[in-house]
Amino acid sequence: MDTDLEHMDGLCVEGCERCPALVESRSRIVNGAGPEDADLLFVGEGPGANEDEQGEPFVGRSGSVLDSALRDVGLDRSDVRITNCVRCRPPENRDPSTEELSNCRGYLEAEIDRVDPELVVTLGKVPSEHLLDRSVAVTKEAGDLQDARIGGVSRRVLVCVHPAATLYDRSQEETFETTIARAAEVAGVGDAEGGSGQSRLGDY
Amino acid sequence: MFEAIVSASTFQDALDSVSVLVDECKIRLNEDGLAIRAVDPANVGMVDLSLDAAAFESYEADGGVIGVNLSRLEDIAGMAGSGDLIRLELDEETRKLHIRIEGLSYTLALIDPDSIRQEPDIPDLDLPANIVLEGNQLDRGIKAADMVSDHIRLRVDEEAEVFYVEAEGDTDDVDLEIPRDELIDLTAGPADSLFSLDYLKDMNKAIPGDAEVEIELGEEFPVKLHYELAEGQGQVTFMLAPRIQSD
Repeated sequence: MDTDLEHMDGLCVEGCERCPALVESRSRIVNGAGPEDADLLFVGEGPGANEDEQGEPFVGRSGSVLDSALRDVGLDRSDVRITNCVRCRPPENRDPSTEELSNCRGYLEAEIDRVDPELVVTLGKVPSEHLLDRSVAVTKEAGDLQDARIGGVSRRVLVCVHPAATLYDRSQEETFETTIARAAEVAGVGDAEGGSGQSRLGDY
Repeated sequence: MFEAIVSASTFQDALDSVSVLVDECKIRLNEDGLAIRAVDPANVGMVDLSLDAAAFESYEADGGVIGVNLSRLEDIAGMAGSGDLIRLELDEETRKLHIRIEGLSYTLALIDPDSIRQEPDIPDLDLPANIVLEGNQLDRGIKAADMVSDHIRLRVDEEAEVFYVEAEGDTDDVDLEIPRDELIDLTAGPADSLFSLDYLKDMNKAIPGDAEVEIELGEEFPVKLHYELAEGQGQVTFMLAPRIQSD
């Protein structure tokens, strides 16, 4: 495991060249962004063109959708941590291959372990299936909270549709916003209190 | 050490009550029986299960704790017919659980109990109303409520001594009225709370229709549901946090 992480310093990966196709297509490695002790950690699929250019996850249109949903529950981008399953942009924005996902898995697990968030939110199909280790019907399961074994530890994972899904399909907007509100409520951050009205056993 | 023989139906019923809330759990292998407590990832529902040594054909344990992948264990137990016996044996050295069912042998790798999500502090509640009814009476109310809403309201009319199961949908309403003489027992008290049907439906699935269910209820407080397994040699308690009405 330790030798796997030789290119990782804290939460950042530098100089990793495990995936030849991605080394070819990237202009830089895009590491996670946000507080190192965030309660809420979002996991996306991988960097796109904007992310590759600016070196930060979710900065394009998807990023704006996410920011706006976060704002609705009283959260700022700087309150949460955002990272990706793979840290280098795949050519022509194709899905990362199984091998690429597995090459980058150790970095993701180490980041989750070191940030130790209250809740991990998977944005879209690839990260949901990657972390839950099974096939996931994201639209159907959006908002479902479950336990997943990540790096040998049980973590709470909330499945969420990809923010870009709301751009193509307006009906996904409400699903996305409700899931983000649920995420804030479960992680105990933002001002989503009373959102669903569901109380927790720890409240009594 | 842990070595036990249990009837498949007892073991399956016990696991069912836990698996409606979690996928993995800690099992305490106490000298006098097995115990599981688990809370769902949202900290909304809890289950407390104890299966006394007397519920087993044979039982020997010395107080260890194991962590199991419950979905997997349930699948394995599901391989047994209802009349079959399931033999369980813990291999301390390899941290594996050997499960044998009629010539079928399965070795289940255990999970480090410390890596399982910690449950939050569970409130110690003294609730004012107590309703005892049959599992299928509760089931009827839940089924009807589910036709119209995502929520279910449980309340007691103290004066009239009636237990109500109600649901309000966008267009349709459901109202099940069970007076004292149709209940097994009733201690009336101020009780009126709203619950998520998603949770209650799952919990209800684990409750046998012919079981006696004791409901402890308050005003906007968690509800407790108690029932017995294995002819009284197993006890299950579910606790469910209410939804709080904003209006």
